[in-house]
Amino acid sequence: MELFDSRFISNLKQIHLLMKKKFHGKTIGNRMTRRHGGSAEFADYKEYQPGDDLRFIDWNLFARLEKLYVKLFHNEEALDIYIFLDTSDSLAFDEKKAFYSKQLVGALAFIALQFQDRVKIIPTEQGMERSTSMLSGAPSAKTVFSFLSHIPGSTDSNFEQCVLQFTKHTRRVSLVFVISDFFFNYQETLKRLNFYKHQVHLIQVLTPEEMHPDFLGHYKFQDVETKEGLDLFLEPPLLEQYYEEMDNFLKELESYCRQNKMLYHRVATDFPLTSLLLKMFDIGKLE
Amino acid sequence: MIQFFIPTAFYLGISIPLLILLYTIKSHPTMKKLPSIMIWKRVLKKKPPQKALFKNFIHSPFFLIHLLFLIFLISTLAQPYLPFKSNSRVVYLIDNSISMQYRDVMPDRFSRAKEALIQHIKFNNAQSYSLLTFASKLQPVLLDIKDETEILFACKNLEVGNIPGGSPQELENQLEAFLPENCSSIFVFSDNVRFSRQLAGKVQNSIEYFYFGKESQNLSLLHIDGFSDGDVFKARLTVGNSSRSSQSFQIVVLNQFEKELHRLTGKVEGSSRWRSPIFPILAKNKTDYLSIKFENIENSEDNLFSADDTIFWNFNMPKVPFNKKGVIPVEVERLLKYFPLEILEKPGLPVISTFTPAKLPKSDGIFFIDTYQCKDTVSKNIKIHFRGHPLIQYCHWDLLKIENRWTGNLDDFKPLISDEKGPLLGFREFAGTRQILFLFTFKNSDFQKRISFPIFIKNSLEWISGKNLDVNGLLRLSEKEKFTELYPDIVNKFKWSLANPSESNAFVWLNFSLKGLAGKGNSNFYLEKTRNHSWLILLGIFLSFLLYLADCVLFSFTSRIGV
Repeated sequence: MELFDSRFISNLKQIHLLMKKKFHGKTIGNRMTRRHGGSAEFADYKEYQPGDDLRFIDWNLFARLEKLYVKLFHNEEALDIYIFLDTSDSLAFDEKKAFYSKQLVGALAFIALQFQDRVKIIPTEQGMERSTSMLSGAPSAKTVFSFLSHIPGSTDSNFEQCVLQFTKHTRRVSLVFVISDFFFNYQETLKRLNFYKHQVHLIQVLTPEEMHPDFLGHYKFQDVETKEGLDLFLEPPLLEQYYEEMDNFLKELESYCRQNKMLYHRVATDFPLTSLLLKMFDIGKLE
Repeated sequence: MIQFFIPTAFYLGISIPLLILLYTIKSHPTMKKLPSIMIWKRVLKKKPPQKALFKNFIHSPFFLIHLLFLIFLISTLAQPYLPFKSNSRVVYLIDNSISMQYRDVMPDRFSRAKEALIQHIKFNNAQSYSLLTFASKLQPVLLDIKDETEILFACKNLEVGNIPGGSPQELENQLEAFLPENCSSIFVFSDNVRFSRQLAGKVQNSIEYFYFGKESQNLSLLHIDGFSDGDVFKARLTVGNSSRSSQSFQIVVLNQFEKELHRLTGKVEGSSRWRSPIFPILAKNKTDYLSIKFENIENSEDNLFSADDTIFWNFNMPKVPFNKKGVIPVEVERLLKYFPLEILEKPGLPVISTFTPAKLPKSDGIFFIDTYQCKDTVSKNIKIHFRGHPLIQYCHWDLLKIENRWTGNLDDFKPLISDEKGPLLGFREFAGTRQILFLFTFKNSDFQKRISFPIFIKNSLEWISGKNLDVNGLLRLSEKEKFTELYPDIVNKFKWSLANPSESNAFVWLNFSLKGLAGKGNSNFYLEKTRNHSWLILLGIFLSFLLYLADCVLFSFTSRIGV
């Protein structure tokens, strides 16, 4: 199944991701950093010192002040973007949910690559072995799409382990996306992502059925991850309690993000992805 | 407190746990995999719900319908009723003289009397009770007490004395002072005392005596060997040749005699009886007229029954209108219902039965069938007569045949039936009355259960009633038709008494009414033994099965579409 159609891709080209935090890229890219470099964007002056490039002396200023000043320019670097994709059974179980998550990852990666940023997609398995290499350049989008279409659901998904490895190797300030349903004990794990001042976005993907189940009667639920069973007779009052509890759960996550200076987005799989992205941009979260 | 006529119907209650078991087996939950049950667990942590299985029962409409269906069926079959409280004021007299210590009956006469007294109080449901003991003098124990438990408690504490009995006249004089106003009945529990008729005039109903002693065993409980509890008889009366004029009614055999009495009294006095709106037919039991008398012949010199010695324990019911169509069924079912076969069917016991016009004051249309033991020598000179006698008209001759024919003395009765296998039937005209002799042994005999037996009784009654009929001539149909015209308003009564000489000389009489027959044509009535609502129970089981099947189908369907 194709992740995107051409029209959607053309829409994505008009969007780019905003990094609010200061960062230093490893390679040259399109994002201006505070480091002085060779871009066309003027940054500052400094007194000429022997050894400075004579091409950058501002002669007009010398004529007025009779002092030599050298023009400094911003450096343009590529931002490192890491996208964690929850590949646990809870996400992989529902095809729609899994597909939607992959679409989201693909869209984000595509936007980033278009903007000359570097992208790494990390499926949340035991380690980062199955993650992509640091991809850069628009042509790498194909690699991303191909990678995404071959990600299987994993029974040994371990988000905590994954984040641990990530924090060991990645100390440069980066933009981090975590795409999951967050039906796990996320508090401690997510805190680790904040250690190196990464800008973290949590995107919670849920199905409408999870948010508002409407089935009634005698059911035996089985957790696809833990295989745990639950024998329940669903009645409207019990469903009402579920809605309430789900609401609490979402509020807790939202509150957690606020406290830890993370950005939180919640999406339902029946919500069109384009609209979602545009909506997110409208409110200035990603752009 | 609610009581039940047929408590054995509750055995059907076993089906309820069975039903629950069936639904438990069936009620598989819908399996559903969820990405996570974390939220559900959080919900349950806050408020644990009831067990899903239990909820499943509550929410299963078929289960509820099924359960209600069974409950209705069982409660209908059990036939609950509310006992009534009559307005009667009764006086109980119990003899505690020294003679009551005599142990000719076990454990002794007084204990038996006390037991019977308690039983009587329990079933009488009077408005007020007075209890007095007597020996040489009358001693009041409780007077005009409304609380039944109080008088029952007093009864249990009664003790026999060492004083010999006094004269009945003196006791009677003393008793007058203790009689409450509007006294309904006096019940005397004794071994020999008998008050005068003057005293009987001072009570609204009657004085009834219960005697305790070898010669006067009180037969308060009758068991019927031939029939089991809950058996149903269908009795049908046909008037004329048209099947449209036939009237059917059901009879339920109950082993517990008192309960039946209670039911009858309750019915007459207006006790509320539950009738199921779903199964009204099950509650359709007619109780029209029944009078049961316990007879004592303690004082009789010989073993022959004498009408003058009869003492009644009488549960006379007021007349109850039969049905709206004016067709009046004959209450012959009672005859079979209370036949105490276990008492009667003693090996070699000969019994003579006679129909005699009543010697009682009310002789208008009252006839007795008196049964007693015959001590006379056996005579084998039985005259042969013809089979076309009116007494056996409409009887199937084959059904009248018996194995052990009576071979006793006929006295001056003329035999009517010649067949060696036939019951001995004799007649005579004595002192201006007509008498029928009916002889057969009860040994290995089911004669009284046969269809022709009540027909025979009815024919006998008609013969006795119809003074112009010639006993030796055939009863013509046109003459039979006159029966209803001649006696439209007379309530004819039989009195059926049976002897048990080996145990005691106590008699049980059963009176049943034969009201004037409505309509025209010849009249027959007969009994058919049927199963007790078995078709309804089978139908119930079948419907239960259907309901269960429907539930299974619905469950399967809803599971498939994921509702």
